[in-house]
Amino acid sequence: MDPSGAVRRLLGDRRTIGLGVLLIFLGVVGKLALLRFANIETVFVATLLAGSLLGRAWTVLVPLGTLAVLQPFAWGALYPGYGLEDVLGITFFVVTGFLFVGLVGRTVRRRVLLRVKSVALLTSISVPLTVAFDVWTDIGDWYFLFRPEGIDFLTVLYWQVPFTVYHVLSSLLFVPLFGTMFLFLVSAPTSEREPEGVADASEESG
Amino acid sequence: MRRWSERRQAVLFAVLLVVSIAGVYGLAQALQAPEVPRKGSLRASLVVEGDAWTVAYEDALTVNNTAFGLLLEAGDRQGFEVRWTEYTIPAGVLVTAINDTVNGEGNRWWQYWVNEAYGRRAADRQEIFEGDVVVWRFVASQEGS
Repeated sequence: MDPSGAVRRLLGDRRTIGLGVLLIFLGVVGKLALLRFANIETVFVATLLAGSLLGRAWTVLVPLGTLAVLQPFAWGALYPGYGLEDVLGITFFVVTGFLFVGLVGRTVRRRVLLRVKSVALLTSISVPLTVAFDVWTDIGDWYFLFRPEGIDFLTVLYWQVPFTVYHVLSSLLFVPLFGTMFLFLVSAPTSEREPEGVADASEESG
Repeated sequence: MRRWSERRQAVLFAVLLVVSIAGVYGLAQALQAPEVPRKGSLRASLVVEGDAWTVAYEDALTVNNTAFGLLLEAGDRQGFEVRWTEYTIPAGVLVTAINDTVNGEGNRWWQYWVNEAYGRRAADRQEIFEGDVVVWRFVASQEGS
């Protein structure tokens, strides 16, 4: 049975819901599978695609759903021992950083169709977005972890450089790869939506 | 201006993408610390300064010529546990706990110095030489000092 009414307005049709859940799955499983590869991750691409391909509440639900799984795991298993203030503060910067990525993806949504230009557009914006995300989360790291030790922000940025290079590499690999796959999935014609583009006809805004 | 076909655009995009990935990958590789090759035996010392404890492993004859290798050897000989996470990118290990003192407690982490010079690379990528003194300290994040 197809979701209807408020749920449909919020989450879209069945295919949109399926793809939203698939993006959360991609973000979580990809990140966990690539733990040994610092900053090679799939949360960024899942969030960018959620905003640019699915829109609606998925712009927020995909990053929040993904991080709701990953953040407790990170603080509980990977980086235990941090104080609650540090955990909440840094989590705030990570969550808002990914929300920003989703919202930027949302702004290009109307220009994204199943075309080479769309993949190129998403790939192009992913590079400065990745750098902006890293700088934003660095502010959180600096404020909560390094500033109390008297380490200035420029030093933190300097330490970040190689990791941001890997993060950019991650985006260059995953955005075109998963972007093409999801563009195809979103654009494939079905009986319940328009075939020519990714914009869902039932969406009220944007 | 002539419009390019979708196929031509795809080829151009693929070429640009491959060149970009190769460039960024090359830059990432250039930023990596190289692996430390095994050499002959040498004498080196190691000190581990924990929260309220210190372990000394002095003037040891060893073939483990990295700051990490010497730490593992000391742990094995003196009976304390070392835990670490191994990363592939960037390649190297991050020591997460020594003798049950775990990174993050009180905003402090395990960091090392070689001859009082702060270790700026993964410990398994930091070569040590004859007579070197490696000190692992559980302190707030810092550089230099």
